[in-house]
Amino acid sequence: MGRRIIALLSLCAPLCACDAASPRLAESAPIRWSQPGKTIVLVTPDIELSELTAGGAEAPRADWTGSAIALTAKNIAARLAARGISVTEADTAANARESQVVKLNSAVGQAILLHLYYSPIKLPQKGAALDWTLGPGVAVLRDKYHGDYALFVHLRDSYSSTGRQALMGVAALLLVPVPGGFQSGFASLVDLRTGKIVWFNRLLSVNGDLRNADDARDTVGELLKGLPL
Amino acid sequence: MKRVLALTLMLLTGAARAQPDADSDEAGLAMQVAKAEDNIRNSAALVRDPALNDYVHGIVCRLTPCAALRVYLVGSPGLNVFALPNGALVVWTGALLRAQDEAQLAHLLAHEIAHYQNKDSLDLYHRMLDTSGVVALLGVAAAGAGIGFVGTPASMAALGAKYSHSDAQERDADRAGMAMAAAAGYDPAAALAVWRAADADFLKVHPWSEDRLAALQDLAHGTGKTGAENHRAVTAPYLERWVGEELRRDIDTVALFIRLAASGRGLCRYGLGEAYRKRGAPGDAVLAASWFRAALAAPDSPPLAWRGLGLLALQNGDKPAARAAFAQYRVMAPDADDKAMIDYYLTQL
Repeated sequence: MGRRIIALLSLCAPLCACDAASPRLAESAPIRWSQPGKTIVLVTPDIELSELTAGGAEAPRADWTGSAIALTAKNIAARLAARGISVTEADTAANARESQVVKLNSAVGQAILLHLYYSPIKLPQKGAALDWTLGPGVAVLRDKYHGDYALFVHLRDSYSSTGRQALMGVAALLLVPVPGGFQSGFASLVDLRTGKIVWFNRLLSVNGDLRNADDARDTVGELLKGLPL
Repeated sequence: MKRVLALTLMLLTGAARAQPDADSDEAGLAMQVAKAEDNIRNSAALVRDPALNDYVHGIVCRLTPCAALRVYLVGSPGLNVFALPNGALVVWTGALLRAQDEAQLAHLLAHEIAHYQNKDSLDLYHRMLDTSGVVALLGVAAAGAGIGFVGTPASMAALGAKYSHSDAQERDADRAGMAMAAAAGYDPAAALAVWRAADADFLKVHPWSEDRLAALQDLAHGTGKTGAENHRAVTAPYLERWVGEELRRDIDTVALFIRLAASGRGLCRYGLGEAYRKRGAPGDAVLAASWFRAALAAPDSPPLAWRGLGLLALQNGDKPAARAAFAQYRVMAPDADDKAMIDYYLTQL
């Protein structure tokens, strides 16, 4: 684990000028429930786990990915249920329009990461506020799943192979930085009436692990930090 | 390695439903390929028109038992037909535009199906996985369906240059493809025509050589149906859109449209005129004008040719001719997308 920390520091020194987990709230759009029973649409988390080969290639791992998606969804649902919120899980892959909304969220999320979290390329008109929307197209999710808000998770997670760890160890002795695996991604909460992103949180970590239940619970805790519910 | 490859073949081709170890590279590859197919299926660029899909699907099913193949028509200019290693067969509409008849399209499809059945595409993916190029390729595959920015035929070709099929694989696919098409009753000569006319980008993935041509000629015995009439009829409603998409590519399309205009279709002649007009080399304006007129003389007499003549006249400073041509365009295509632009030109003339 220590090796991964060293690796990430060397990898993202310019990025880490800002704090690693820092949730943002859209001040102009407070949470409003349309009915007494609160429902959140949990879109199947877009997660991919891969193994970092000695040469630095990311080899996707189907087994890790499958269990990470299940663990993440389960942990999120449990946390929301504990706060009295009912969760409708939405598998959007089979529906073209729904999956377009998920792709749009990924694209907008990447833009938020780039322009809101990374100070050198802040957008002059956007300022420091979370002021982004997916637009009225989110209605396809509201109509089908009957929720007030949708929660999206987008995560990429890599783990160093044994070969990569050996290389990092040797390289560290020679003071050559060789990055190891790390987690990066975000979660966003979207108002399904307006499309507005009302809450957003970035995750950037070398310690997180989605491959076992205990660590996955911690990662989900980090991911949902500051969720205004 | 042999064992690993065998396992992969079983998983990815569906030849057997045995699952490989979930922690293997192959499972990771299968996951990525399934995701790429999801992207294509959900893409806005997917052509969902039943008539066109039935046409292509019908050809595929005449060529080979097609239960395991899923055909995706993607609205994109450029020549591309490829199979994902899981049996998703992706056909760009640019391939339908370039095929002069049903037999030519069938030969292209048969060649690609042969690559798939020979596990060549899997071999290609494996070489890429070894060098992590698979991620780039799947990005391209998805982008070809209108996702991302790398889906141009040129980027496909750049990958193809690095990861092309081998000469032996090409000859095997030629042989198997020819057999498939012949068994379905298609004219063997169409294979020669379609490969000789293929875009350079496509030939980078499927390396072409004089030897390959000679071998293909040896295989082309007898005759068969061309299905030219049927191909024209099925593609006619889309021709204007496809020609427009080719013309919007940021490359010189004169050579392409010289081939297409040989069919005598008015819209293809218009395309050649427009390709000349856009290229604008010395002498091109004269050629453009003559091809616009040739287009108007064709049975389908596309109104767009009047628009082309108007723009040419405008470029030459011939205001009366421009006015007359634009006015004719507005009469013949009263609901054209660019009518506001043409009306503006008319007020300026």
